[in-house]
Parts: sequence; structure tokens; C-alpha cells
Amino acid sequence: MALDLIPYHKKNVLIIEDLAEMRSSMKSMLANMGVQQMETVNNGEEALAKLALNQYDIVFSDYELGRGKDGQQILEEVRYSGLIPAATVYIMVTAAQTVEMVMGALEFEPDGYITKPVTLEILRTRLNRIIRTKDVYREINRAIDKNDINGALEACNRLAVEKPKFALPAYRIKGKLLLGEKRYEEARDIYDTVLGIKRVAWAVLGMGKVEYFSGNYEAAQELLESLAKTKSKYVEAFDWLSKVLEAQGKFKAAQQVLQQAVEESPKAVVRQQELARLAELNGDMETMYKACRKATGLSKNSVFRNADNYIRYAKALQAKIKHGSMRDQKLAISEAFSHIETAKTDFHLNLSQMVKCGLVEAQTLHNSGKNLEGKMAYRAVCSMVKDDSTLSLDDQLDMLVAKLQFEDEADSRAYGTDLLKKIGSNRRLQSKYYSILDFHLSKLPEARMELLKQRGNELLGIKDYEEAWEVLYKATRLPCTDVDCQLDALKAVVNLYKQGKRNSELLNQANELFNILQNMDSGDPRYPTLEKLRLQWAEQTPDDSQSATG
Amino acid sequence: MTHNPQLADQLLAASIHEIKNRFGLMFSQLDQLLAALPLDDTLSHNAQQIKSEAEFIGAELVRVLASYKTLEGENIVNADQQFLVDFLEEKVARHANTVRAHDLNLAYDCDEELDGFFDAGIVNIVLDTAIYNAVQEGAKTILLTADQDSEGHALRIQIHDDGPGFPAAMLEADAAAGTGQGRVKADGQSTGLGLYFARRLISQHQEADQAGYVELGASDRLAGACVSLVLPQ
Repeated sequence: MALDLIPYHKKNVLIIEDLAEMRSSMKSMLANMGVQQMETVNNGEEALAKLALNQYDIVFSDYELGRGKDGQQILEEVRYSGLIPAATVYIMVTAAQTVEMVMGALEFEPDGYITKPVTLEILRTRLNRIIRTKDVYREINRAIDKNDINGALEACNRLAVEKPKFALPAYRIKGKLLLGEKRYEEARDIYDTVLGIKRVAWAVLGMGKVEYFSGNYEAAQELLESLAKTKSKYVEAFDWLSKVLEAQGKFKAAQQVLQQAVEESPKAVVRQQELARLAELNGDMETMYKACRKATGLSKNSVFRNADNYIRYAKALQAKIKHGSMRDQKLAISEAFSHIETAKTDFHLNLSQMVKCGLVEAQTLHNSGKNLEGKMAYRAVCSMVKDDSTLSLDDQLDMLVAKLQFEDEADSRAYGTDLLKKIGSNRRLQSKYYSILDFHLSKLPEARMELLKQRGNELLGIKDYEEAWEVLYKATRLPCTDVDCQLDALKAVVNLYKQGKRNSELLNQANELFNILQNMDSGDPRYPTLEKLRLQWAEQTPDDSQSATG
Repeated sequence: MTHNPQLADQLLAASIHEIKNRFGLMFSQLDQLLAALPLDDTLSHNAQQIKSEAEFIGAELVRVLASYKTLEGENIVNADQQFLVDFLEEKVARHANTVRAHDLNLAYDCDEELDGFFDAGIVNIVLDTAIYNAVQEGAKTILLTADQDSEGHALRIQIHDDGPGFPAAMLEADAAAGTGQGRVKADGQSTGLGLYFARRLISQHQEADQAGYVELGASDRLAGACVSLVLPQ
């Protein structure tokens, strides 16, 4: 049959498979089909080393590779670092159960997959099909491999005209190439054309990117949200949605979106690193710790290893060093030092990274009881930074943490007050500033109470009831809390309910506060305020308000 | 505590999602384990059945999740261009374990050039449901076919089998209700329930004012039943 004339004897094949039986069975089946040049490896690390050295026509990768990287991670790394030419056929071998996971990655898709159990017949049919399809794009891939982007774009046009059946796939490649070349308006035309024909997911994603790069964040958000809603398997939609939200200054929302994506596919390194970065911006140490731990494990021996992640990881370990059990403390201290060491020795650090790294080192020393060494490390950082204004405000907040530890209280508080002025109306940095001081004052309940009350009132003033409630409720839990604070907290929660943000936890907490205040003397000047809040609360919670009104 | 059915639903869906993922990983490890064991003919037939059952459970969980989302009113369809010969070939290959465990003859037949727009994930779920139903009814041969109407406005994918066919009462009820408005009820019987959700899933494929539908009938290619999915283009 003419269709069967694929010259397998000329093909150079790499098989990535951890089980010896499977390796030899694949080899004998391929030999049976005429393949003469075959190499095998049994893990991802060896595979990447081979791929960096040699060129293969066909790569078979098992999806489940036991310990170490899985097939998806190898593919992500290979595509990201351009380790294999576009012309190489990349095939994932997977159990029927995991096919959806494999094909769910819009940006890191293999050319095809073969499901287990692999028999000679299945291998022959599937491989023939995949190679023949790949062959349709031969000219395009050849141009891409020569880095001749215009040539590739022309080849896409030719394919669309000559074989209309492949017009959409040709446009898909074209859109991707144009985005890579930052030719956004041309990419927009392509996606417009496609979306005019059919609303396919990749075109929605592509258009979302065009809008993002063009600074039309609202349009981008709308497109990506619609995609994220239809099917969670398009995890890339979440990645880009998170970028769009961040660009609009919605850092918490951006983090939440990424957290969803991470739940969906926890093994993507870059996503975990991004989550750690956002969590740091939001001052969410718990999430930052988890994401750093994941990212560090996943990026072992990979191109995705970077200094930022190690520094961040050491920073995220501080809570464990300060408050963990003895055993946890010990482990966390040695872990933190080892990450700091890795960051310093394995990478060329820029000034901002050196400052961060030095501050984390000082903090680790201080938190593990080595105050003097800590102070010396801190001084070393100070000598590096001649002028604070060369540091980002985030870095300056890190400086504030160190100053509170190592400098005179009054001086560092003054540094903080100055910094707060520079922060101006930036909400994210404000929150970070207040949580740093809140943490610092943890042993001084009165001062902490004042701080929380002040911040809570500011937030009430700008109608951010969610965060106001968070802050003020914390203040009502302090032993030195007072009626004013309780009333302010209730103001926040009543307004939160008015905005439709309700849940049973809030309900219980608010009812508890109303209960505490139920014996307020009616002659108290604050009594009318309490009554008004009670009425509003009853309106918002008609079924559950007995305890508030009773 | 307040009564919160929405939260309960979300909890259930999240839990099924987790079970599905864990199960997938467990299954592929089981696969490797079974491959490494020296098994005689009887045992290896048993192993085959375990694999086939495990795949069935996996497919069932995927189906439950998708059905849950449609019940929630979420439109989960993401249509993309599919080349039918690739799609059906893959479907057949993915059922290699079903074929071995049940001595099944599973094949496909369609024009090399045919393409169409649909959500591959959803159509996969519906084809799985139809294939497993046919196997359960005792079919030994299953044929998947695809074609389109002369104007190219509708794509039809059919699952033919050589089993006993649908009971007359079921077909009558279906016809009485009118095409596309199938009255197969979610009556708790696995076949009925499966088709009920298959309908809901397929009807989410919409094009202009046309919605996709499922038709039950007798096969003109084999001696048994035929399930047709009609997808507007």
C-alpha cells in the first residue's frame, strides 16, 4: 500500500521508558517496522541529556516514569528550551486514563499519543497516522527550524490554500508564530478570522494574549474567564488570566486564579514558581512556602531552576524557624541555609537578589538565636545599598523587616512611616506593610490593637469591607479589645453582607460579637450605633438573626 | 449549622475529581505491576478484566463529572476541529483493554477526508457510554461510523452493534417524544441513565438554532442497536 511507505529505516528514534520489559518490547516492535537506529533511556534527566546532544526524528516518551520527571514535565522543558526541532515527532505513551491530562496542555501538546497496552498493530497504525499528519506541516516546521519566521508564515498560508481542511491548524501555528514575534495586530487578524468561523479554545486563548499584550486588560479578562469557565482542562487560560489580573493590580485575585490552576495540574514548575512569586507579593507566607517547596522539587536538574526560588524558599521557612517545634526548627534552619548557599554559589545574583539573599540570611541567623552573626549579615547588606531608592518598594519592605529586628525601635518605625508615605495608595503594599508591623508587635498587644484599629478604620473609610473585617476581627480577638473596635468590626461585616459576601463562618462570628454587646447600657452614647447595626443585620439575615436581635 | 446544598455539591464534585485523578495514577501503576508479573493464561485473562473494569470506572468518573457540570447549568462545550478518521482510530485504540477482556471485535469506518467541529472530550464520553452499554448487552462486534449530510450542516457519528438491540418500548417512547427531545428517563437503570446524560451532553453542541441530539434505533450495518449522535456544524 502506497500509504505505508514511511522510510522507518532512516528514522532515528529515542525511547524514554522506565520499565525494562516495556523498553525491550517497544524496541522489538519498532525493529519489526524497520527502524534501525534506536536509543533508550529510563528517566527524564537522561532523556534531556540525550536530547541536548542528538537529534531524533521520533521521540516516544512514557507519561508515568516512576520517580523523577513525568512525560509532561519533560515535554514542557523540551519545548520551553527549544531542545528539539519542530520537525521531530514527539509521542506520549500513556494509559487510557491519563490521555485527557496529556492532551489538555494547549501550549505543550505532543504530536500525538499512543495508549497502553501497545501492540504492534496499534503502534503501526498510530505511528503511521501521526507521522503522516506531521508531514502535512513539513515545510512550516522546516522554516521554523531555520528560524525563517516569514518563510514559515508563508508556508502556513500555502497550506491553508492548498489543503483547506488544514486551514485552521495552519492559522493556529501562524497565530503562535506572530505572537512570538510580537506582531500583535497581525495575530489579532488571524484570531479574528478564526473566531468568525468557530469559537475554538485555542483562538480564544490567542486573542486573550493579544489583548493582554496590547494592554486591553478588561477585554483579555473577559475572554480568558469565559475559557476558564467552560473547561478547567485548559489550564493555560488560568495562567494568562492571572497575568491579566496582576497587570490590573488585582494581586489577590491573580493568586487565587493560579491556586486553582495548581490544584488542577500541580506538576508544572513555572506555574508553581509564579504562584510563589505572587504569594510573596501578597505577603501570604503559607502559600509561598508550599509553592516554593513544590517548585524546588520539580525544578531539580532542570532549566527552570533559578535563584529567586531558592531565596524565596529560605524566606518562606522563617515562620517554621520562629514558631515550629524543636525538630521542625532544626530542619528548617539547615534547609534555609542550604538554599541561601545554593542561591549564592550556583547563580550570578543581581543587586536586588543579593540584597534579598543577604536579608534572608540575616533573618535566618537572627531567628535561630545567632543575633550577633545576624546583625553582621544585616550590616553587610546595608553597605551594599547606598541609596534605598534603588530598591523596589517590595525590597524596602523586606528592609523594614530587618530594621525592626536589628535597629533601634524608634528609628526603624520612622523608616516604616516614611516608607508608608512612599507606598501612597498602593493597596497591596499597604496590606503588606501592616502585616509586617502586626507581626512585629505580636508581643505588645496594646500597640498591636492600636495598629489594627487604625488600619481597620482606614479600610472602612475606603469601603474595603472584606479586608476591614479581616483586620478588625483580629483586633476583637485580642484580650485588650474594646467596644469601639467591636462596633467597627460589626460595621464591616454588615456591609460585607450587603455586598452579598456571606458564609456561615462570618455569620457565627458576627452573631457572637452582637451577643457580647447585648448588655450595652441604653444610655451609652454608642447605643444608637449598635441598634442601627442590629437592624441592618436583621434585614440581611432574616432567617438567622434571632441571636442578634434577641 | 446552616443548610448549604451548593457547598455539599461542590464538595462532592471536588472529591470525585480527586478520586478520578488518584485512580488514574493508581491504575497506571497497576498496569506496570501486571506487566511485570509472570502470569499464566487464566491469570492473564483475569488481569485483562481488571484493566478493563478499571478503565470502565475511570470513564464512569469522567462521565459523572461532566454530567454534574451540565446539571449545574455550566456549558462545558469547547468545540474544535477534529479529523474523524484520527478521532475514531484513537477511540478504537483506547479500547484495547475492553477488546481483549471481552473478545470484542471493535472497528471503525469513515471517509479519510471527513472533518467536523465538536468537543472531543464530550463525544469521547458519549462514545464510551455507548460502547460499554453495547458490551454489557452482550455485543461481540461494534462498528463506529461517521458521515455528514449533503450540505455539511450536520455531522453524524454512529455506534452499531450486534447485540439484542433496544427494546421496542424504549424506541417507541423515544420516537413519540420527537427527535432530539428523547424521553429516555433517568430511571436508575444504567443504560437509561447513561443515555439520559449522553443526551444532555450532546445537546450542548449548538450551532445557530440547531442543537445536537442522540437518536436510538436499529443498525443498518449490524444486527443489533444503533446509537446516532448528530452534531450541528
